[in-house]
Amino acid sequence: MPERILVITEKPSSARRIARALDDQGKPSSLKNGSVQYHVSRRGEDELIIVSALGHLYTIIQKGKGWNYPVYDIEWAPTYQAGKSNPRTRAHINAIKDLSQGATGYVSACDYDIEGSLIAYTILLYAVGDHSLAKSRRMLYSTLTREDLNKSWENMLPALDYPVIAAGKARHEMDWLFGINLSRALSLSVRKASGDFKTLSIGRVQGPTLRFVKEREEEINTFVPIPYWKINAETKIEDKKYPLEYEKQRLEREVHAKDVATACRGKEGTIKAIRSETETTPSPPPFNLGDLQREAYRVFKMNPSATLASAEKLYLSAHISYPRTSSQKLPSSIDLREILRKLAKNPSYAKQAEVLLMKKRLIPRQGKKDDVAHPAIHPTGSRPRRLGDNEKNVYDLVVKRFLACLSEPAIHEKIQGDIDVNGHLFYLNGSKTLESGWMDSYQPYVKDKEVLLPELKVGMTLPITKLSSRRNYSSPPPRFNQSTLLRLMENQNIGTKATRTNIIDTLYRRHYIEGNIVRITDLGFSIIETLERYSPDIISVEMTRELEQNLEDIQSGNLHADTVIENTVKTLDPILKRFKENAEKIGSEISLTLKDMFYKENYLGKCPSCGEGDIMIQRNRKTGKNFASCTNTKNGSCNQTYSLPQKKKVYSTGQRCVTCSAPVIKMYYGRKPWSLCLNAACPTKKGEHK
Amino acid sequence: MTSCKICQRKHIDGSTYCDHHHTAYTNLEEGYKQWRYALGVSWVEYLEKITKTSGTGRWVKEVADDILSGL
Ligand SMILES: [Zn+2]
Ligand SMILES: [Zn+2]
Ligand SMILES: [Zn+2]
Repeated sequence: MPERILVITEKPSSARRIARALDDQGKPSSLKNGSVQYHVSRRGEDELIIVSALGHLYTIIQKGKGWNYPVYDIEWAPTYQAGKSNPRTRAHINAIKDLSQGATGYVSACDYDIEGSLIAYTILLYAVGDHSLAKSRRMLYSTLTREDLNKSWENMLPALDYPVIAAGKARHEMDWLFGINLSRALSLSVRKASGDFKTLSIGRVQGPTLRFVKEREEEINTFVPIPYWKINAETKIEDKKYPLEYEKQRLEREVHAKDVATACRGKEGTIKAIRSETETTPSPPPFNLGDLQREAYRVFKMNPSATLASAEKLYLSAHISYPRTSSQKLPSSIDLREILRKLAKNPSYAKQAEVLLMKKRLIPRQGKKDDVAHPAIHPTGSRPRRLGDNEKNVYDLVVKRFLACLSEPAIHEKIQGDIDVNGHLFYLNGSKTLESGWMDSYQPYVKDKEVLLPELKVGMTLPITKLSSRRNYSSPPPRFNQSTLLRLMENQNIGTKATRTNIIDTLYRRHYIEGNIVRITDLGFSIIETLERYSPDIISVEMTRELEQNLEDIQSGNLHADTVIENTVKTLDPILKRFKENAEKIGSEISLTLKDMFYKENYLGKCPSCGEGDIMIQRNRKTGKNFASCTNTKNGSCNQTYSLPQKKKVYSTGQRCVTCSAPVIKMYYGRKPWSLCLNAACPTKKGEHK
Repeated sequence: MTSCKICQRKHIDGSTYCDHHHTAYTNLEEGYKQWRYALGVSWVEYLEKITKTSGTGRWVKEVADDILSGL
């Protein structure tokens, strides 16, 4: 009996690709249901109806009404009902309902990860109906290439991957329960204390992450640098200069440094011993997501979120494998030789690929980390055309890392000479490349630092041509950048490879952190400090990690999802009770910071008329227009006001006009600041600009 | 008076400083041992130098300034 199978994908672009791969002729017909495009593929006698979601079409909402807390009663509903998502999701739900009529079977073909499994499951359950679940199967694939998709179709799971779905569902529910309750608790406490309303929020993983940033800031602010001394020396052999390394990296006392300098300056050294050894640097393992993000940050200064976005695009266009993986391994099921053959057609990689193809056996260097669902990130071999700059960079990095992991180790000869200078020991270091190995494949992302030495002999004398001691200071721990913050989250085991990048973005969006070199804002600091005092569990790494473990246990079948959600409520309830008891204190501490921030943002300078009040940015409630006025206009003792540009944001410069004493403000044109006197009637403005 | 000698925060028990400035003060005292060993400087010379050293923490500088202004 011919079948009519409804195939659900995660995104429109993957629907097209899957339809083309699965159609016997490679030519599916593309049709429309309302505004939603879908595809019909013929496969043998069967008809496949391939339609995409738009990410999640269902989400969690509160059962019942009221903006209060605690709220534990929740249900899943279409995202358009939650009022936060793309209105097109309604059209997709309707189209899927329509297209499911007469279907004899269903296939979840969303990305092979927790989110993908959950997206298809909620659609099948809520849009198609629970009768569909028994007839549903799951496609598992790591690349969107024709070969992989066909293999995946033939080897489908006979049922949905329920443990993964349960873990995904529980994660969403847990995050919702934490997120919504804490957000309401924070916002309502500020309202209670000050009457002002401002939406504040802190998520389950954001709290501990932000706390790391705060603790780092405190370490930096309380840091006392300690002096130490370093000896810098140099010798000359056959007219070439070579640096010498003193036996002690740092000296703790100035007198010692002076002693060394006095004893050795202008003297000659004698080579007492020469050692050499070969050093093998194994090739690097292939990338998992974290490694790729760190490396892209190191070599391109790309932020982790930009790297992930580029990698996603490359995956959706079938140029690389699925990027959200923890694995640093390439399993034997991947046809490495075939990928190399395809890469060899690309002039940029032909040379290295050919070299590797000549090897009898291809054995990739494997890392320690593994992933049940996906291999390490690798190219498919399909040749990209017209990539954006970021994608081009990420693609090049992935390909070269893939080539490198298949290459031989690099071998160097390290040479060290012991030089005695008036009783002090110095080292002369050299390094010679014997085999450049994988470093050839990984250009320009690795530098081979070769220092070639002339031939050395024991007993040779060398002049000390330069010798100085320098005072240095120990330095405070560095501020995080997005890459190091991500690594810390990984090491602390909070969040997942799929969520960490997003969590960091959220902290930026909420103005809790700022800058590429991450600094915590006053608001971020105040929220963590207040929570530390009144609700330390929310920001504790232990609790976050434990919940993370619970979610993993659901996936491995060791814990029931219902138990985990019950535990979540049990954990959350006392936290929220304590929060409520302290709401006023919490609220007043945070609103002090908010007032402070508001003041800093709107203060332009001292009033030149009364000399007492502050000139603040105001907004006319009726016209919505911005202007500036003295704070003393409120009590009638001053009437100083200024008009302001309406479209540009103005900032204080902290300076007064030398001619009329009004505050000097600045605006930005692109990145260029432009300063001017606030007073429109100021004599400095005559003829200057009109 | 319940606030810190330097900032608006509450002072902690047994100190005229808040938790931030108190930690800074403790580190400042600890650091002096190493500075004296390294350079043989006096406490006042040390405080003057530390306020001008680039890696010194913001709160440490504030405490050093506070001590110097009280001398
Ligand atoms: Zn005034
Ligand atoms: Zn002026
Ligand atoms: Zn203080």
